[in-house]
Amino acid sequence: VSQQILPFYLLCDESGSMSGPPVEAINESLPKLHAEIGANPVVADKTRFCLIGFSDRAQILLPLSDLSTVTSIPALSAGGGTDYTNAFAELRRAIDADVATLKAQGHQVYRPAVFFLSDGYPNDSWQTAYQALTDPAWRPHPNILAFGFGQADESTIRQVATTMAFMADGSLGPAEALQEFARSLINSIVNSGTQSAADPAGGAMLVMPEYVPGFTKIPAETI
Amino acid sequence: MFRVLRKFRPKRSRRSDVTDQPRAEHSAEPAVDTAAPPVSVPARSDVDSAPVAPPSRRDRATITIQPPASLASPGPATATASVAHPRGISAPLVLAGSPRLGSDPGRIPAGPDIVADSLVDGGQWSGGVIRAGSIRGDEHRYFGTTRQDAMGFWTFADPRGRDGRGDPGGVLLACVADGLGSKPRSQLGSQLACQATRDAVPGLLPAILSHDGTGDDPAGQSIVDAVCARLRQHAGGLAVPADDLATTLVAALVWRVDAGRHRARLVQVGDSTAFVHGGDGWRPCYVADEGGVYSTATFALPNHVGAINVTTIDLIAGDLLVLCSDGLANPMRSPGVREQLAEWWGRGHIPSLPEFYWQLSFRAQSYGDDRTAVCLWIQ
Repeated sequence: VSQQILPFYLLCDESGSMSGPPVEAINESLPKLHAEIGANPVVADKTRFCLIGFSDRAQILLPLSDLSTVTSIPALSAGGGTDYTNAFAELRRAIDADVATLKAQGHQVYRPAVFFLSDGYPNDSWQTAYQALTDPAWRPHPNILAFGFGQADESTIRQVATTMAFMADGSLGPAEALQEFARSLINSIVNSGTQSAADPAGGAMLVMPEYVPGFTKIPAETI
Repeated sequence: MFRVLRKFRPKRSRRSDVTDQPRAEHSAEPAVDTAAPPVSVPARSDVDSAPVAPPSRRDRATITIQPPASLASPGPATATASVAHPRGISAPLVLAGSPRLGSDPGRIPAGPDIVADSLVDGGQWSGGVIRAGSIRGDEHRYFGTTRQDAMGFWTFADPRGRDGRGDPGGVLLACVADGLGSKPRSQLGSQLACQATRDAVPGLLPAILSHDGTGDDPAGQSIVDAVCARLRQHAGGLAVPADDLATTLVAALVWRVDAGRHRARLVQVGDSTAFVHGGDGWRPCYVADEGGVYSTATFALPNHVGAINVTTIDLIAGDLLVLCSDGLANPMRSPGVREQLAEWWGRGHIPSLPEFYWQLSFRAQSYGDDRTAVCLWIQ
């Protein structure tokens, strides 16, 4: 059976600097994100969800799954350093394998969407792994939305985003802010756009929300 | 709705069995009052401040998910999903997957340019029989927005009739247009594209019918130019950007070549497409690029025309030519959908109008776009 599938990856920083309210907020928001997806049958019919946590290493906590079959998710647990190289490499491996599997099953696979959540203080030099992840020549390269948490480094968050970056502005708790974001995104999902002759492979699956309560929107930075 | 449990979990391997856990497992956890504030996430500082274990051995809590009722699967996709209505009318049949999105007209759209939820049409011309339908996608129904697809078919006198080889209604024009979902008034664009094609064809007919089909028929460019001019003119009158009316178009002119043969010339811009069903099953008239990831982005009139794809196909009695929006072409990727449509429409079987509408209303998980088809059975 062929379906149109949007693979959706949540790539979460669980390094020591995220301990306390940031990682607790993400853990709190996971069931809410799940509920948001579940509350919208349009999205539920199309979306597959994967959770990856990273610190010194990256680990797939929930393989790409139909959320209607998921009954539990391993929680994030903060500790260790912040290695973006391992995070981006693991994400790229996961996307590569998942998209190949889905296409082999006959599905139409939308460009994957990534929510990247971090406070933006990596310990490593990550540009090479990031370029491999976002290389236009790699066909399933994802759209990345980056979220800055806590006392996040804005410039790093901007550099990781390909589409849009958001900095928590402190007016809402992080869990509420993330939930607001998920709601905005899900309500704006799945609209067709025009294809430009210059970029026949382009066109966004995700129509980005203009305003998200609790976040300041900043443009992505091309590096 | 959720709680966090503290327990040690061994390293989860990639492709773990988490998705295979029985649905009942969540009920094994004590229920949590859903009205409670999110205090069910315990303080974590004792863990976080402990010496950091390698991530693969980290002490992880587990977040238990209570699936919302709306995520419950409606059950297996079988013919039994079509439950006979008490008055004998069947609900739309599920042909692929287990859609959680319902299929019902739902909220009435608001706005100045809304169109009917569904159209069903049909007719006969000297070459055969037509059944046509345009159905608002279940996603548009869910969101309370209007259908953006359009369609139409018309006959014209065969200009070769003067020498006795033609007939008064001998040339058929069929159009399907798909207004872009991202554009607020594209339902106007799709209707205008069909009407502008109809208006352009009479002047182009002698050239189209005399073109031998080798190389591109320049009439394709003429039709596209006429549609673009109409869209831009209309947008100017509304004082909106022409892109607000952006639409795809696939059009076919069909005429008799000789006693056993009809010829169809197709013009396509964007992802609306066409299929033929004949003795050897389904044949696409256009081949879509399946190499990369899927995108809803499409070439569209009037400002992103890209390629104008003109093709000529010969049809014999018993053939079925289907012009359709991607709301039909995409679910037809599923073998089960193709086979069921062949069963309904193949071998020269022509459904009644109510049958056709019900058949075209089939459901397929994740495919919630407007669905439009003009089907021409050649006789």
